Amino acid sequence: MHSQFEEPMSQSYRYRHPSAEVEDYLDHLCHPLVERLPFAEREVIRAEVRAHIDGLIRAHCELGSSESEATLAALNQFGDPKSIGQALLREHSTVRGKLPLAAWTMLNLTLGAAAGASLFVGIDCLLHTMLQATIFPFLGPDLVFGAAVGWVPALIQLRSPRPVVPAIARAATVYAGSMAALILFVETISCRWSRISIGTLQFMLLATLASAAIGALAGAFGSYAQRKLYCFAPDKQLALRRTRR
Amino acid sequence: MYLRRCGLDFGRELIKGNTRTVVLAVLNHGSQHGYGVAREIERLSGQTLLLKEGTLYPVLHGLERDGLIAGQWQVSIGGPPRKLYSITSAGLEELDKRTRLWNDFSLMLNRVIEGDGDAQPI
Repeated sequence: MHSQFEEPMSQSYRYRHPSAEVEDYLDHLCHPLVERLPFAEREVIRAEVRAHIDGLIRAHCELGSSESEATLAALNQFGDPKSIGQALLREHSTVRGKLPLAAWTMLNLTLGAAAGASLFVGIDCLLHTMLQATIFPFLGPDLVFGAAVGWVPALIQLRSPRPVVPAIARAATVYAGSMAALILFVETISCRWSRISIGTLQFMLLATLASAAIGALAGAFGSYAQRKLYCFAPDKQLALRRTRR
Repeated sequence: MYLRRCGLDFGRELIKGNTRTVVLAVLNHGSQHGYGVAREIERLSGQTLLLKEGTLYPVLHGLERDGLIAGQWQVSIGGPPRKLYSITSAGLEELDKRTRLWNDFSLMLNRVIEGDGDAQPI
């Protein structure tokens, strides 16, 4: 989709309509698309809508309206910017826009719970004794893995070309932390209760909290990095700074 | 989108379900950019079929995503670049299918309205 846009878009990358109302309207139209569509794709939409509104303004001017009257009439004729933006988001989304919110939430819950459970159970079964004895004498593998797994969605998020991933990444991060807490809690209650000291219990609870916190931080880092690297164009930021000066 | 002259409440819903057909039909007459599609809809419907023009773009982008139309950017002199849409062969097939469906539906509805119960199945 992008290849055919590259040439004209590069020429008009910094083109802005002389009317502030039009650019403000475009901001509102693109608002639902921010953090959902890449910057380049939003710029293409802006350029297309801008050209249409420009045509409407010219037509109204030719019929005798003043510039400001023509702009207002054109924007009114174009319709409610937010609902248009949301409709565009539905058309441009891959999976999220096609599923009802409840189904999407359930899918996230199931995927997150299944992934978290299988990973933690796997790491427990395969590596517990070995890791506990040799590599991590002080930190249990539950904690180490719980902390590490939180970074996976963040890394996926950084590399993702599609807007559907951040939601999954955030959900997966939460569930990774939740599953770490749950498994540690269950182990504490069922298996190790008789062998565990109060100090160890406190340590495990702290480890659980740390695991969840690191997972949450990873998600926040992923979202921040995505916003900086994926949805926000650095050269646009520079252009804005130059304008302000 | 609504019918200006009729002012019928169901007009909005009726057209809403057929916006894709309308856009494909307009592009079947020749390539257009979004602004041109809106003007052609007005012209071909005798200024009857009016729409909030922004609602065209989700439809255009959806049709493009489905491969029924193809967009091509054109740089215009003295103005912003415009995206020109053309109907594809898949779009022509889809338009044909939709036209037949619409014709069958309107025929069936006419029969019901006229009370022609003895008519042959379509």
